[in-house]
Amino acid sequence: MSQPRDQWKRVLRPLGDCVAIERFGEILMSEERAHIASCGRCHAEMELWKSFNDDATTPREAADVRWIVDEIAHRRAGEPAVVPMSSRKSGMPRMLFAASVIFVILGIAYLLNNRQPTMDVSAAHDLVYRSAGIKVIAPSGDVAAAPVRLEWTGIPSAVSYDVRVVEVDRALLWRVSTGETRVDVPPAVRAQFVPGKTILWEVTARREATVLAESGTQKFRVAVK
Amino acid sequence: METYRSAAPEARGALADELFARYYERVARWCYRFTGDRESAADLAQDVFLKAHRHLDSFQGASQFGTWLYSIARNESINRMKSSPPRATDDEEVLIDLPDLAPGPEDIAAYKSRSRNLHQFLSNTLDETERTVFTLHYGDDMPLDAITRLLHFDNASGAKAYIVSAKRKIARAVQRLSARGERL
Ligand SMILES: [Zn+2]
Repeated sequence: MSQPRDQWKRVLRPLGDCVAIERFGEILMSEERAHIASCGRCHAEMELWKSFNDDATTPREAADVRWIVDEIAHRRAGEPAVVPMSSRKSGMPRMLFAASVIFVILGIAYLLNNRQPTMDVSAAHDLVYRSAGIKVIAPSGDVAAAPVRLEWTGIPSAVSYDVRVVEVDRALLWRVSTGETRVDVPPAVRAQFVPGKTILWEVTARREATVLAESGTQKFRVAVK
Repeated sequence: METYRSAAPEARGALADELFARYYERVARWCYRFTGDRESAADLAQDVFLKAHRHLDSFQGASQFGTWLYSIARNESINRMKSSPPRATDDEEVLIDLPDLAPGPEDIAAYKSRSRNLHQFLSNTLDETERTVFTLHYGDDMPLDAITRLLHFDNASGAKAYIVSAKRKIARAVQRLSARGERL
């Protein structure tokens, strides 16, 4: 690859305030809409997402698409039952996997009925049981470089962990749910961990709607060189 | 919701399959447009669903299911491009060079502000469609014919027409800058 092409590739990466793809399809906040309107990267991502979400199959491609759909169904029927990654690692029995599938389906049903912006923080979040605390492994305190991963200790009966990364004024930088006890930070979020800026993060362990434990607020800061 | 709650564990797997099946056509269409042929599209779609099934428990409803599945399809498609051998250079690549950029600053804040300026430069120089094609082709190495199919360009040369006009405009803007002793 030519040198200028590499340079341009770097330039065309999402910037720190770019809107995560996961936000597409939600009710966007006015700042997000304004950002997408002015940002070439977000605008391009939005166009792609629309082509996935809104398009119909054209008559010209109908026969091939039909063939692929049949092929997917056929191949998936022949696949051995897949157990999710985290279940395999922890040897979680199939029953729990099935429960997590239910959880997903319930989540979808909830979203379909109640499509609120995900930035809204549930009031239930304040019902915290700090006594059975989650221990944060990393990052914490001053760190040499922007962390690529957040890690904590698990709670045996937890089905999921909600992770929130916020600025000191509690402005939300990132929110994610996972079944594992660590999560990789997307580059667009990492880009906001600039040297000298204190970042707060917290983990909540849940089993369905029940909050099992909370980490309390953790702090880290990328050291200024 | 109660139906799901009371479903027997064996039935729950089938419910997940049913959920995926609702998206077969969307994923098949996306993969077909991305790859341009049905065999490669079926391989790509199979990988997308395999990955989605494996990571199903990481989806907890923070986004819509369709958006979550889309992000898997999008990333899987683009990663596949990266792992396949580089394609023969399009003739448009030879026609007009991409201008060299001044070396980027080391300092993160300065780097961010320069990236922002370059994004602004692209917005000022290109129209929306040219900017979109330029971003996908040079930012994600997305092939021009895939962009043509995904974004429904029905002009004769598809996305290629936009990349050629984008590069011409950028080259002219760079010339104007250098006439003033400035550079990108
Ligand atoms: Zn953006």
